[in-house]
Amino acid sequence: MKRIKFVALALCLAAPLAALAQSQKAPSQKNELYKGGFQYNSVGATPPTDDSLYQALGGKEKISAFTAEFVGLISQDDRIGHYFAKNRLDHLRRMLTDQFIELSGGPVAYRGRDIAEVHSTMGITNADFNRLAENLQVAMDHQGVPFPTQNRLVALLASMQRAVVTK
Amino acid sequence: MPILIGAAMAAPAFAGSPAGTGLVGEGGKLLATGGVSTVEGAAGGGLVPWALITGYESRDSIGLTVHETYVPLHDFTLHTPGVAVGFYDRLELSYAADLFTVDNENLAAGGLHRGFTFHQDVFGAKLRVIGDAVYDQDSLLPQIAIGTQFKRNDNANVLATVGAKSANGADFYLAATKLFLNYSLLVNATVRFTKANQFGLLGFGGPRNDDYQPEFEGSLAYLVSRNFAVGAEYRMKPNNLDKFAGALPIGPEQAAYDIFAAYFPTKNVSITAAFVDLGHIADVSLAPLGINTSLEPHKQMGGYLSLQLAY
Repeated sequence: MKRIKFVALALCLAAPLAALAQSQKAPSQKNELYKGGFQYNSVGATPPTDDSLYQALGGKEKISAFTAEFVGLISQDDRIGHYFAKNRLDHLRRMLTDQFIELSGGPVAYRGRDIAEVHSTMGITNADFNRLAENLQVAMDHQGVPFPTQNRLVALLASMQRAVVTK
Repeated sequence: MPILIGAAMAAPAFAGSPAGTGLVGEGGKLLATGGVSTVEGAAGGGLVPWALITGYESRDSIGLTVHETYVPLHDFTLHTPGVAVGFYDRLELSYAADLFTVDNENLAAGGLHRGFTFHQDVFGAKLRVIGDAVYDQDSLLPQIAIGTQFKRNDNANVLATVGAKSANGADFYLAATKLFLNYSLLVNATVRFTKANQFGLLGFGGPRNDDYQPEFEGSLAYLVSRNFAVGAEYRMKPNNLDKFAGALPIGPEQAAYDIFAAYFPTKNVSITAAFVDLGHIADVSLAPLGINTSLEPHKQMGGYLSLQLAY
């Protein structure tokens, strides 16, 4: 029993330390994991190489539908609505739709600006970032995207916290 | 059932407030990402503390959670009210009162009797060291926190009767929590250095061992929907009191486990229900009295119900 406890203890200490070493090799230059305007690390939730998530999200039609609703929600949100220029919402909607399609392995390329660059002067907080994610979940709920599939998209967007949140 | 609900159900909704002003009550974290309240008061599952900081306040704010937990077991009832504060998603301070009452009239020896209540105060502190369970999706790094729980018991004389070396003690733990959103799965591993007998309810240390030992604890939770999660936990415990040849020889202590369901209707309320098995707690041998049986022939299994309010 003591040996099992020792091994469990050793694993508990070793695994996070190994993970820490791995994560500190985050690439600073754009590589093949630069998708949707964001540079991903090479482990964990990275943009898929096939289109299974794109299909699970409902393809271009459903992604366009929930993105349109999402843009409506965030631009009206009492917490984060002030970040959005009301005369540029259509542009935002098109950029986000392309981004979600590209990230999920679909056939459209994101041609917008780098995510870090877009958000660099906005002073966005974690609470703002989370509110945006919640609005996306609501929009996906309304369009009938299954919860596990929603989480697969949110997994790709969650990492962008380090590029978006500056405050 | 002595669960305190009452006026607390009229909880205020989170107010909108400007970002980064450090006000209480912004509700800036995603639903369910503060965990629930453990029986020792720290944020986590029901039995195992996690690296998550209690409540819904992000790194710009301070949040308060209050909880009531009721665990009816075969021969005992555990009731733990508690409170915890999360500071800037970085530091957590908690207090829980563990009130452990003997229900079985046969457990009458050495100061124990039906209605007797063990009372342990648990003062906890937890510090998130590195990582973020939600944001670090393209990383293997978990959210890691270190914590301590200082535990203080009444009834030192009864604890001495079962062979405990001390009525007070402290646990030290390291927790690593990771949310794999791709699989809607939360995984937690905790290692705790402890001398506590039965979570500390039967004191600390004993004739078999009075040194700190590492104990492994683990939790798995699956997010079924935004406000509902199910999971299971496992918590190993030391076995310090076995082999005591005193007034009340207690048999070996087992690992504890639970299977739970947690419901988060809003960011103000969560309700957790579980089936728990805490193993034998007072497996007292009556052999010294010439009777070849135990006072506690049953393992302590039963239900678990917890209500947490967050502000």
